[in-house]
Amino acid sequence: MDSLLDRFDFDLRVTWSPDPDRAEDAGCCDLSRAEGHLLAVFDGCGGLGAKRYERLGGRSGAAIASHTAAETTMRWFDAFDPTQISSYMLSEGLRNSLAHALRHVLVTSGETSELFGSMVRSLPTTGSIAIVLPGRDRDCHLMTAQAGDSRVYLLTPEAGLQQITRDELRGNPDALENLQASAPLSNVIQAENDFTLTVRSGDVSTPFALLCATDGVFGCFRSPMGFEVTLLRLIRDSHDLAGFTASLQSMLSEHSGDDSTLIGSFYGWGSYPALQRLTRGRLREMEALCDGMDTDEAVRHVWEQYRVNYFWKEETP
Amino acid sequence: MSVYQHRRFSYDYEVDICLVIDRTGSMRPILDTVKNNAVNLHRDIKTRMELKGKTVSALRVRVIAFGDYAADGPEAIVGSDFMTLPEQTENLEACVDGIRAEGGGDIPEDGLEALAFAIRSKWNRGPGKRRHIICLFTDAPAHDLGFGEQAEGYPLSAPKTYEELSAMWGFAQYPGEMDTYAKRLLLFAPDEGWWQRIRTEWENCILRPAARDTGLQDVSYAEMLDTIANSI
Repeated sequence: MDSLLDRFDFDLRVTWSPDPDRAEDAGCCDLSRAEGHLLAVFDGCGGLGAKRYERLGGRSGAAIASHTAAETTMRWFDAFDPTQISSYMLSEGLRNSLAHALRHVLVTSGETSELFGSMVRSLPTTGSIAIVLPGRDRDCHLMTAQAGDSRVYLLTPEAGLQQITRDELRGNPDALENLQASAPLSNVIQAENDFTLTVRSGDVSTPFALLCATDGVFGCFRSPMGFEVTLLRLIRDSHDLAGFTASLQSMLSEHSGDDSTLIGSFYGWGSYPALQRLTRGRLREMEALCDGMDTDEAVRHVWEQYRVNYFWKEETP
Repeated sequence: MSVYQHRRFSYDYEVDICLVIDRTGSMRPILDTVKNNAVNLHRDIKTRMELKGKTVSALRVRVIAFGDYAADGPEAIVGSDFMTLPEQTENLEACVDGIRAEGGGDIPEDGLEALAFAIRSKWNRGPGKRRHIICLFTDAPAHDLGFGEQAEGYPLSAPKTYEELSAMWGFAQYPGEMDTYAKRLLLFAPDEGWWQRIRTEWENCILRPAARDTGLQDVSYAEMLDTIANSI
């Protein structure tokens, strides 16, 4: 098995907040190791975690939770040879590490909740975590761990943008429906109550890109199709990676109303012009599919076709 | 058509609030809190939400006052229609001014029947992002459903059992009568009996414990607003 760095091209990281002093997103990534890469985003839950912790600098529970989760995930990843990380280690080991770290922070804060009920959570945050390992030949092995409604996406030349993780929301609205419904989270990383990390894994052939995004990123589009079309157009219209990153930043500052974090890494494309060339066909397909998408009814109609291949299907030989 | 949402669209909410208030003798403190602040409710909720980067594009409030059918008869539960704020602020003031803290008989009240009445409100079913919030205030445990069924005026449509009431609220496999995504239940109530069971078993619920028979005098208007805003 050769080095993952042989397949790695470049990465991007874009963050934006309407109120940087109160930002509740956190991200982390480690793309430097030959044996495996980590990318993750965490979105502290502002409603559930609005409580402020005086002993912790007066920061909100949401901001404390997302940053604690990001640091803990980074440390957890650092402690292992990535090639030895299994689905079980993610679902149990990382889960326990996150629960322990948040409980420790909660105890340190000396605060207890005066509220009870299914909506009450201490230090709540979403988490969408991806680990990339070298696979056979030029392939890679992916593992994702999920709590909440941030997302990990896979971008490939043939299938375009596919959602790997599943949103964990009460009532299970689909990706289009939830842009309107904004359903409550059914599972979230937190300090006091139980939570799960849902793990998915499979192999993927290069070239591909992995994108981890909080809902401020994909939530500013009218449809999941709009997100993909915009990404592909920004790739096409930017001169290089720096230009692409700047365009993403500008798009979020113009259109998103929420904290937004997008972290991505690209494998096996070779160069930015190759990324442009190899995604051109998919952009043409998407533009044809979305042509005339002028009404809510038309959006729903196109979504019914698009959703057939929207979710990534695990591919493990 | 742009692929983007309107900038504020994602964070614009159409909010319906149903205030369910125990109007028996001891409840004067929280009734006074509601009465004294009804005129500012729209402004204050809007401000709280703006601090969170969200906006309220429409706000409607209705009020249900409840007591005990066995002691108070047909007027044990009375409710207004939804009032649109800020346009109908005067109606809201008149409505809460009209509630007198009196009656109630024994210590528990018919809070579960009042909750059923609130669940069956005519909630906004429009196309926007919606929140349907039931905010119930009581300093007493609740009678079993049907405790007052022999009394004059007891509603025939009231659920007969706790299970029937729970089904009206809905749960993971069964959506119930409210909008699954929009519904919220905020209880300012003693953490005991039926209230404790509801906060343990029902989705989208928050209970702020209240001491018995104190009229929720330790619940400030600011705390009420924060609890509502954080649930949206």
